[in-house]
Amino acid sequence: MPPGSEGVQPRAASFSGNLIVGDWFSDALCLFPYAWSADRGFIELPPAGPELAFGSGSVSPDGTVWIDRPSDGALLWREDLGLYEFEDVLEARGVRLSSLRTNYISNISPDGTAIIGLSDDRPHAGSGVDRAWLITNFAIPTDCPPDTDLNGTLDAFDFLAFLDRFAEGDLRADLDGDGELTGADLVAFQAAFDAGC
Amino acid sequence: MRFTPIIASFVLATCSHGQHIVEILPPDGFEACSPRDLSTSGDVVVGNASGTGSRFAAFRWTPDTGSEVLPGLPGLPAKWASAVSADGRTILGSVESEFGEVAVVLWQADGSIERLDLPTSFVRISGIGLSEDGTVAAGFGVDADDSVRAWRWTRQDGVRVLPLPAGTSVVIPLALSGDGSSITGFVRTATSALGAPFRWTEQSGFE
Repeated sequence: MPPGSEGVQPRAASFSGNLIVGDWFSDALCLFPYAWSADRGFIELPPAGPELAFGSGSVSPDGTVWIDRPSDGALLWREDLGLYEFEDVLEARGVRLSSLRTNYISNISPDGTAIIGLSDDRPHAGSGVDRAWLITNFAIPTDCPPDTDLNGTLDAFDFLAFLDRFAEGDLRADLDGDGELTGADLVAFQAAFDAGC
Repeated sequence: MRFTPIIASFVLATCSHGQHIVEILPPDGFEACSPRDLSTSGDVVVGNASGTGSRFAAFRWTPDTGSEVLPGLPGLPAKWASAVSADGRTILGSVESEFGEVAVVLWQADGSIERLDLPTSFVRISGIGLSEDGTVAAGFGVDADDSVRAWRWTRQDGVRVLPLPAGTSVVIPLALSGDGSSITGFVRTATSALGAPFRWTEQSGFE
């Protein structure tokens, strides 16, 4: 079990059973997401902010871990890609969620391209029920850092999206990893863009 | 406002990459539904519908039919649908009488319902996972002494109740791997009341 944990609850396993995801409990009974692989044991997932995640409830065949969030949209994480806001990925691909939120991921299809879940947006006051949704033809983002808008192609919009992040002080624009946003990050972005994916 | 009763879902959005999001509405007469599993294509979704007065029913959703309550056995309405095979043709779930009699069943695409031959010593039973090809299932049963045991069913060999690991009296399986070879879940022991994880495989047993 992870250090400091009081208990661990698996919630989903990959096709082979070699990657397991779930929640671990702190002594304050807070839930945190984890992944466990047969080769590496427990893998610490990165923090998602102060209101953090709830637990990792599903895993795609490629090792992408899906993390529920009660007060916000779900996250997806893969070791080589890092952490993504699921709704950012959908938005980048033109999917408008309308009033739905992707708070909870219920399950992933065997090939990872279809996803079911629940939205805790409740349009009818007092209805007290979550709304169910299905997303089909989903593709996990590729490991392509200059594809800033996550739409699977490199174009001028990636450059604009990168500049927005840079201007807003968003450390996802810290491409050289030195913890600061400097001209070196602009150079790094240009080089990555030119190299392509 | 609820859209068309003919097709109980509607496409909320599409985009140039072909990704769609669809809201899954509950079957007629129910207020909400909770999806539990889906086929590879996403064309079959199964789960549980709920209504007023603690009414629950297993449902299957397809783009053509919307959400429909699955059929039960005589005196045993369909209560839960837990898992579906990759091709969407086999569904694992349970049926339950008003007197609490429960059976774990497989719904097949041809309309047949197969009752799994679980031990009658179980006072409660539940199915939790189905392999992608629909030939392996797993779940748990509660004995009269409140111990909880995992079971595994294969098309080839039928039901096998897994032994309790030493020092435990509660084994809750939560997931069956896609190839049906491993079960993951948690056990309760005297030293870990909140649960300790386990993985079971045919080759290694509990670890």
